[in-house]
Amino acid sequence: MPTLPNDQLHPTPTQRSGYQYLFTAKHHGADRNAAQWLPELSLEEEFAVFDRADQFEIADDDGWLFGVRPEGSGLRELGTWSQQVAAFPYAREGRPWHGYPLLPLDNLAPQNRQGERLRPSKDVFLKMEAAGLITKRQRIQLMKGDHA
Amino acid sequence: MNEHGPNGDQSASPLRMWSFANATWAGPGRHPGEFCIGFDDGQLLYVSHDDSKRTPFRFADSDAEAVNGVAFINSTCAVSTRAEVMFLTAPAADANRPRGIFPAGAHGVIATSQQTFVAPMGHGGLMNAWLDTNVGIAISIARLSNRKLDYYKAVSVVSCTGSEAIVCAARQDGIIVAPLANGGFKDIRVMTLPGLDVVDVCALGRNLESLAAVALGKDGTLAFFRDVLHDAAPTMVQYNSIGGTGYRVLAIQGAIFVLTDQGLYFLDGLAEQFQRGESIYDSIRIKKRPCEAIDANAADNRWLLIAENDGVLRIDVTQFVAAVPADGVESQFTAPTAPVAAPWEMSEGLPLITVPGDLIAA
Repeated sequence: MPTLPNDQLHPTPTQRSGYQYLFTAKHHGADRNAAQWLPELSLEEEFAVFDRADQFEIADDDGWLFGVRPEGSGLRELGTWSQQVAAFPYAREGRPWHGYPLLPLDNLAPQNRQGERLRPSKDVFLKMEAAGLITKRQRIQLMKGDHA
Repeated sequence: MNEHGPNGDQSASPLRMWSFANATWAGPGRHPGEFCIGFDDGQLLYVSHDDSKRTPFRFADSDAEAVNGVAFINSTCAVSTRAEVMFLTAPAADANRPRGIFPAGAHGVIATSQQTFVAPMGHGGLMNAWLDTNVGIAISIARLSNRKLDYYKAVSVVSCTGSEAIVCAARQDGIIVAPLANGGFKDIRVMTLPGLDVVDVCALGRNLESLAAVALGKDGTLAFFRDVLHDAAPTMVQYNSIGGTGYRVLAIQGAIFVLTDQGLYFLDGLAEQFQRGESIYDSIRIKKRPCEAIDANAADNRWLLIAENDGVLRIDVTQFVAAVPADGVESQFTAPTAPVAAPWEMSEGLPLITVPGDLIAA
């Protein structure tokens, strides 16, 4: 997907929960310090990752959703830094969701963010495996911070 | 914990499978003659080579993350996960508790010949930790200030003259080489081949005349360096018979082992051929053992340990090299191809910034 000059709402909501989804300029080229969706990934493919995360309720305790995109026997890369998992922070009712590719490691957080939980939790990966989105081996590799 | 082998009787087999649920890492232990196995809950298990002794070691809390690296320097142990790097110095009354936690994740941790621990922390940089008489364990983080690099996997390469470099697989960024002098880093060189996703790297041997290493691309491409500090470009080969997503590359006893999501590939004598200056474009024997592998490491230049879905496979490389293919191992002669590629992009003498890191007392 090319760079987005402005945020753009997906025309249809998710199938299960009816969530609206916003493609944000920040994660499509506007902020080079932020995680970026892979330019080769179409907006429809990005939305499909979110839709499937909602369909299988791949959520953590805070209501964030997490998605992957299986491709052949592996997982497709979603971000420009080889990320294979995407995070969709919880959005209040009636507000559109957005998402971004998630780095595999917990970074050294600034002091005001220290103590925040590591995302995704191990439970999230177990849900992905139970939904058939990833294999057991891929779950363990992702839990280690490796590529799958 | 159960044991089983592919053919039942394992007495004559170079392969031995230990059934461990949820093993995520397997490699050398605290001393020669011992293996260490890491699990998805942060726990460690020490196993003697002959399996006569097993010592569980609960290093972390029950909700700890999966172990992705373990290294030892004398009586100090470092364990890495995607969330943190934990350090333990022994002996102590509460020996099963970590003495310090560095609160950032790493893709692994290694010990260097200069008695430091090095951990590649993705975009966070390269962690260097050493024992300090005043503060216990001192930490510094090195990274380029003007370019975000992906420090993904790291290996220590040491020459017979004692020079040492940390070589990192850096995904799309290629290969990062950081000479280690007096226990610290000053500058790095970065070698990038557009389109090559470098996922692992290993030394071709210890105490060779130069810093020789081989890197693995996600597509199975192998890039051989005679001297990572001075080569303008590596010698590259691809084998059609090596399929799947590349995970690990290891050099043991002159052979190369490549682990992909389709199995373990054994490339007979390839490292030795390259070291002798011979062509590596002739046909070689490649053995393949299909497996559901998660990770692999070498131990004592004799053993190959593979963490699989339901256990740890121990391979005695000495026997495996000589053995007639068995135990589900396929064998064939294959000629490689030389990948046609754009020239490598080289950046040398890039200055690193180094910042101190703080441990959280455990």
